[in-house]
Amino acid sequence: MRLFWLECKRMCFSLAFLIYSGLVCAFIVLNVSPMVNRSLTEMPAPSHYDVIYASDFGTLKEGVLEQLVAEYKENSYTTYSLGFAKTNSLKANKRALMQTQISALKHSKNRQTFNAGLRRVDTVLGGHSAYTPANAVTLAERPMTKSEAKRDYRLIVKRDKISGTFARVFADIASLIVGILPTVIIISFCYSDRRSRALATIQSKFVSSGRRLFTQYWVSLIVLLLPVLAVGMYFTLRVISLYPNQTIDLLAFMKVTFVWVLPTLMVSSAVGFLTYQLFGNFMGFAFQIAWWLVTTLIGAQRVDGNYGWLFMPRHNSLHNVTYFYDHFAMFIINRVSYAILALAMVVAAILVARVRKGAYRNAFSSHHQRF
Amino acid sequence: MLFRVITKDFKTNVWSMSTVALLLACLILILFNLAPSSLAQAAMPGELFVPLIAIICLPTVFLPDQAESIQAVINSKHYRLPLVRFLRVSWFLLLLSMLDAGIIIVYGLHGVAVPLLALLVDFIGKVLLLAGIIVTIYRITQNIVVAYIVPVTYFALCLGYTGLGPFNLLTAMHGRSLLDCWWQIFVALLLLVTGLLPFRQARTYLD
Repeated sequence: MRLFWLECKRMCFSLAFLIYSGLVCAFIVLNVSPMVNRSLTEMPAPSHYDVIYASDFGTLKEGVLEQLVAEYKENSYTTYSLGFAKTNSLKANKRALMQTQISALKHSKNRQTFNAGLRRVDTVLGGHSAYTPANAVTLAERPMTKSEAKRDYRLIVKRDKISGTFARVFADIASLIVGILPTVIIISFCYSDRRSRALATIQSKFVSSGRRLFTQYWVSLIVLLLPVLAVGMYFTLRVISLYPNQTIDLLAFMKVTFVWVLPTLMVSSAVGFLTYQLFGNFMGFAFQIAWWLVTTLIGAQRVDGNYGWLFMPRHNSLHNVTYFYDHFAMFIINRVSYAILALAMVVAAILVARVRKGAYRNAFSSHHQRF
Repeated sequence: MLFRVITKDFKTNVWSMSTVALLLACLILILFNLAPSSLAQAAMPGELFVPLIAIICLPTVFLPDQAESIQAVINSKHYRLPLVRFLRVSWFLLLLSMLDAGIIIVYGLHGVAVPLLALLVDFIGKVLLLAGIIVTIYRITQNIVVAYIVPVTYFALCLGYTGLGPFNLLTAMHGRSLLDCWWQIFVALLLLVTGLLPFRQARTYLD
């Protein structure tokens, strides 16, 4: 326990943590405030109904064909290799093949034949296109119907109790920033032991590498989550003051902080520990920044509800609530999987640290035997 | 003598990160379309990817001499620490600007219909601005972590926040005028002067 408090004190009183806290708070407040300022006291007017992705076969087929035919005419197709948008042109033989696939899609009678046709289109384009069964849904946008808008609003008031709706946007933004900054904080935290030449002293202590690293990891999660919790409390108070006559879920921001943001923080922190044990420098940050950018760009293709296997799930909308609850199980599986991945990375970091410590011990013993 | 300082320091401290920067730059060939059909697409490598390489590489110029004892040794020599750091930063600025120029040359060879010279200035402006932020932040805080997290947060803000006006790094990608980059270059030069000129002896505060 003493080690825990010592590490807490060391991290909390560092300049890096103070600036990290300021940046995290500023980033979340700047991005979430415009959303919180939007009123949810009444159901939106028909002209302001949110746009959703259609799931019915007719609208999907129409949307996909409209986009595909337009791209075919211009011979300019957009693909998203690792999330980076890239335009490609097809040669004459592949264009002819694409024409065949378009007419096959036009004549598809059901979803099964349509999906098979989409896969063939994606293959012709070399993969990573919008024309996969999973991605094609983004091509069929339409405004909500009145009944869908009513259901959406009912969920906001009854199930989300208003604060839950804002909390999703809050978690979406908070995940973006805790998905990257903790890695570099942790690497520097570990690096400072080496820089101050304390590593040999630390390794000679009674505390095992496993216990020391696990305690440091545990401390990092608590300390680095503090600014997110603080901003969550601030927004809870703000929602209470904006909706004084409504039933508010007072714990909504706390719930999303632990369920949505914490697994992302666990991973970015674990990457810091593992890559430092492996490389002993800031190289892990390059890896994390690449992972973060790819996830951000893939997530940006559909920000109003995109969970799947994303490291930072997206839901940057006050609506589309039905979609969130329909995919809630998938979202929970995503978060649990990343939490398990983070713990596996910490175990790997502990194993690497033990191997290193063993190597040092062997080096010292052979040195003593020699002299 | 100055040439010897440059080559020795380059071999010891800058070479590895320069290799990483070049390896990352190779990804541009895979990830981006080098014959883009619009200005927004043409701007992607230089506004989105090269600035990230800058964020990864530039703070490392301060990494080798973090300990006060090392700083004291360097400062006891004919060429002092601010000059050594200035040379390292200049090297990375040159490397990243050459990367930007390389992208523009490839666009030119493919006959891409975008204002190439304006785009090159825009690309270099981003690198200069990030370099300015990094060196100034390091000068103020003397803390390597802060020199990493401030530009990363700025970059993350540029991706989604609309209130940055002409200081959004994704100028052409967000459909803004390329003239915005002159504001960025102006501020970048101010920051670079503030961060690199040896106004007084720098001290290091660990952590």
